[in-house]
Amino acid sequence: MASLAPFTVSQMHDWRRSPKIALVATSLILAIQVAIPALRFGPPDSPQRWAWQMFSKPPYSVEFTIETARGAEVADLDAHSAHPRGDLDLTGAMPAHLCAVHSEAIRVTWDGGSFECSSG
Amino acid sequence: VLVWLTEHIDSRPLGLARIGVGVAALLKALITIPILFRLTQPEILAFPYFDWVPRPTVSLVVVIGSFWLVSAVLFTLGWRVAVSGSVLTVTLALVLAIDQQTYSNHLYLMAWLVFLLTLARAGSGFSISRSDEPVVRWPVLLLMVQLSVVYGFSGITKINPGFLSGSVLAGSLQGGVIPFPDFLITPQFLSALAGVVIAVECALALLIWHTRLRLGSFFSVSASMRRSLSSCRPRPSWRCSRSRCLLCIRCSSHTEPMRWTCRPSLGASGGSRLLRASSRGLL
Repeated sequence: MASLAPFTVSQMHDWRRSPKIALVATSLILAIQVAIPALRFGPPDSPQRWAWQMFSKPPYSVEFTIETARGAEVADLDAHSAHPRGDLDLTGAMPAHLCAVHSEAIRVTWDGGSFECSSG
Repeated sequence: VLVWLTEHIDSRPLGLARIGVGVAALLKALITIPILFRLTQPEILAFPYFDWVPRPTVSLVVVIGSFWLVSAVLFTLGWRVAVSGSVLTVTLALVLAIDQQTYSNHLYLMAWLVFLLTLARAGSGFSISRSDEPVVRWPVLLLMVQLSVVYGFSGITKINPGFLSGSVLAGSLQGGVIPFPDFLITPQFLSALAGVVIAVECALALLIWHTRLRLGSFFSVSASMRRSLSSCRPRPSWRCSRSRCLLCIRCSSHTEPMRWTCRPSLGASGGSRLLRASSRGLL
C-alpha cells in the first residue's frame, strides 16, 4: 500500500503544511477577523463600517443650502457626491467643497450648522 | 490540533467558492468603477480617509479598473490564482482605501474572501490550469470563520429598534427588478420579516459548522452543488496481493482529510483475475 500517497510530491513542499506557519497564521488572522468588528461594534442604531453591519442607513438625508447674493438654493447632493451613503457624515467636508465649486456662494447652511465660504 | 490544521482536504468546494466570489467581483466592478470615475470629476466631493491621499485621476481609475477586471476573470478561471488572487486582493483594498465613498460592506467582504481563497490555494480545484489537488485545512477553516463572523455580527448588530421596526427593509424593498408586493409593505409584516432576517443570519453563523445542515441551509443554489461535491466521492481501485485483493476507496470531502479505505473483497483466484484485468487496463 506504499504507493497510495494521498498527496503529490509538490504538495509535500507546500509551506502551508508547516505546523508553525499554520499555528501563527491561523492565530493572527483569526484575531484580526474577530478584533476588527468587535472594536468597531458601535451603537446599535448607527451602522459602523468594518463591523459587518450588513445594512446601511437610508441614503444621506442632510440638506445643504447654498446662500448667494441672489438668494438660496438647496444643493443637489447627487451632483456633488460620488456615492452618498447614509453612514457618511458629510457635514465636515461637503460645505467647503460646495463653496469651492460654487464661486458665488457666501455661506452653506444645513440643519444644525453653517459654514462661511470666506473662512474656507 | 496542528496535525488537524495541516491535514489535506478536498479542494473542489474551494474551487466552487472561488468561482462564485470571482463572478461576484466582476459584477461588483461594474457597480464600483463608475463611482471611481465620478470621483475624478472636480465637482464631485473627494472624501479620502487621510488628507494626503490625492484625488484619483482618470488614468489611475483606468489602471485600477483594468487590474480589477482582468484579475477577477483569471481568478474565476483559476489561472495562476496565487498571482491573480493577490492582484485582486490589492486592487480591492486600494479601492476601499482611496475614498470613503467607495466603501461597501460587500466590497470589504469580497476583499477578505479573495485574500483567504488565495491563501487557501483555491486554484487547486476546478481550475483550467491543473487537475484537482487537495489543499491544507487551516486556510479553509479561516474562510469558514470569516463567513461565521460576518453572519454573526450581521445578525447581532441588527438587533436594534431601527432595524426591528422594519424601516430599513422598507427602504430596501422599494423598487428593484422584481418589485416587492405593495400590500406586504406594512409595519407588522416588515417587522416580522426583520426578525426572521436576524434569526436566519444568527443561525447561518452557527450552521456553517454543522456538516449536514450547513449545506442544506447555506446559499440555496450553491448548496446543492457544494453538497454533491463535498460529500465523500469514492474512487475505487483494486490492490491485490498473492492471496487476496483489497477494494480500496479513496474518499475525500470538504470536512475530512483525504483517506483510503481498504477492505477484503475477493479471494486469491478472484484477485488473480482482477490483476490480469487490471494489467489489461480493464479496471
